[in-house]
Amino acid sequence: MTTTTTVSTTFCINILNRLSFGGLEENVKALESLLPADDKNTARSLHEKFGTKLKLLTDPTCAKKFILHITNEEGSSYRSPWSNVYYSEFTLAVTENVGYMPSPSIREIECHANELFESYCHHYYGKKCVSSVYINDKEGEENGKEGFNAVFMLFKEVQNNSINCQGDTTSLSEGLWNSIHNFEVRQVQLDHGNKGKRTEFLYKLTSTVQLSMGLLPASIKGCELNNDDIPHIRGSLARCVERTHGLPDDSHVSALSHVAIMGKMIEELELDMRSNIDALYLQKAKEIICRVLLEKQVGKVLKHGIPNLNDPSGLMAALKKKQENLNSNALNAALLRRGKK
Amino acid sequence: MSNDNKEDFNAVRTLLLASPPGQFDLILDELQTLLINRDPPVLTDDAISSIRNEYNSKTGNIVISSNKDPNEDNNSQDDISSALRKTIDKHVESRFKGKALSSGSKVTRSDDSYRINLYAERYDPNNFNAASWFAKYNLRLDAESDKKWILDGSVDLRSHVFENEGNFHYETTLNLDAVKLSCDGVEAENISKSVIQNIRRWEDDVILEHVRITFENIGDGALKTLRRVMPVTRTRFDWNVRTHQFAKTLTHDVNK
Repeated sequence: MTTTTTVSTTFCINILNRLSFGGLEENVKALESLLPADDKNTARSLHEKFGTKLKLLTDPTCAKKFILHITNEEGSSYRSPWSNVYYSEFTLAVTENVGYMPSPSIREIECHANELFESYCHHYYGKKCVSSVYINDKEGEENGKEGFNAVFMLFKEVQNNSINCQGDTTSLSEGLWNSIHNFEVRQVQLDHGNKGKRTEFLYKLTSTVQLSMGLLPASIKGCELNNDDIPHIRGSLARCVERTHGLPDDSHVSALSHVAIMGKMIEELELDMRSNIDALYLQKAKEIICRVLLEKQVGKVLKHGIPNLNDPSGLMAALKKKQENLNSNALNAALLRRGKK
Repeated sequence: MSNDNKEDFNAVRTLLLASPPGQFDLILDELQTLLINRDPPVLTDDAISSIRNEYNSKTGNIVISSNKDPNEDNNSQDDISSALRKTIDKHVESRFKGKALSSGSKVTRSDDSYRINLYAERYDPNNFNAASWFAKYNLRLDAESDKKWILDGSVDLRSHVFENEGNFHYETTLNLDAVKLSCDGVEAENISKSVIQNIRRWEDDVILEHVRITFENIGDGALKTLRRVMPVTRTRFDWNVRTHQFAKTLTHDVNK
């Protein structure tokens, strides 16, 4: 990648990191159109980092959906992780000899990974989600012994057109959760210790979660929500982790071990990210709206020991009480002055 | 403008109009650097000015910016307009002032109705957040009784959190149910007092309450619909292939 390309990529990423995920496809397209025609690297980097709305195709051999991604793409055909066959995106016809095919050892890891990741997704996301895992040999290598690249993807969409604001809690009118987990797995050292030959692998995981929620809060007197104006929360979060694990040399056992190690890393990181989204990002989004209105009062109220900025109604109650105290103090002072006269 | 230039302008317009509160100029800077060698230039002064005007009108920023909305006549000096302006300015001063906040209001008259726009924007890069509050209120005479006044309006709320590789946006628009003011007649002081009482009530009891309820238990409600915290079994997933293959075999045998 040239220096100019790196600089362009940086500026494009800076822009997309600020804009809402809701207009992602449109914004990525707009940025691509502004790049020089020969700058394919920046366009590819943007797609890899941000993706666009994940598209699905159904594998006709097993009637299972799979996710379309730059990793399994070859022209307008995409390789199904279930049947390992390329299908045209538009006609679903089989297209042969078009692109990358994983080596047998990599394909073994890919099959186990797809089976387990699908089950994992059903446990956490329900049966309506779609998952896909694609594993590529490391460049210049064909059996995965020195490493490979893997991408685990998950797509979940909720569509519920009910705009009936009833009930006590906020529910979902529509929602989307995309997870994209990119692994770079590399052999790091050979250990010939007393316990026999063991190979160590470094697992570098970069995860991106994209989230969109159209919310149905419980109804409140005095206001109305139209279909187009329901509250929306849209966002994305990225994280990176690295782990090193030793594996036995038996290729079959190591295939299962690779899948277990990558799976556990994904599960741990997703738990952490979900917790961050709930406890940090969503609560902060609420808090800063409240601070627009109550900023001036926050400082005064905090002095009187009301620290909970997350409860604006509690804050307002405290302010009212403070005002009442001030009023009664003023009244007492006025009565005293009158008495002295 | 050539076709290519027009397409570039539209692309830049798309990106700038999507700017979160307080970040229009930051995104403009990035685009200017990205397009520094473009010939003919895309980001001319006129182009930037027209996109900025459009952004300010759409988001409400026009209330506090130096741009003038050509559709607005801010010169109405009748008693009610003056009283409303005084009261609203005081209200903004008391409620929408703070360290990272910019705020302002505008009152305009059209025939016998009044439009009150209130805008506040917060941009705090040190704490990685931004927000905006754009309230539009309409005061008009009741068609059934020319002595009674009706007040209604809407408010657009936006917030943006961008800390530590996260980028989350919250947006909502609330339509406020019309209310008949308790005062009647044309006494400007009474009308403006009544207007501000209702605005305060909406802010405290409706808008903030809506925000509070939206986020209450969101982790156990809306977010859980997308992804559970833990599986139904309440234990982490078993990544052993053999266990799953065995379970599949059992299910297959049972279903036979």
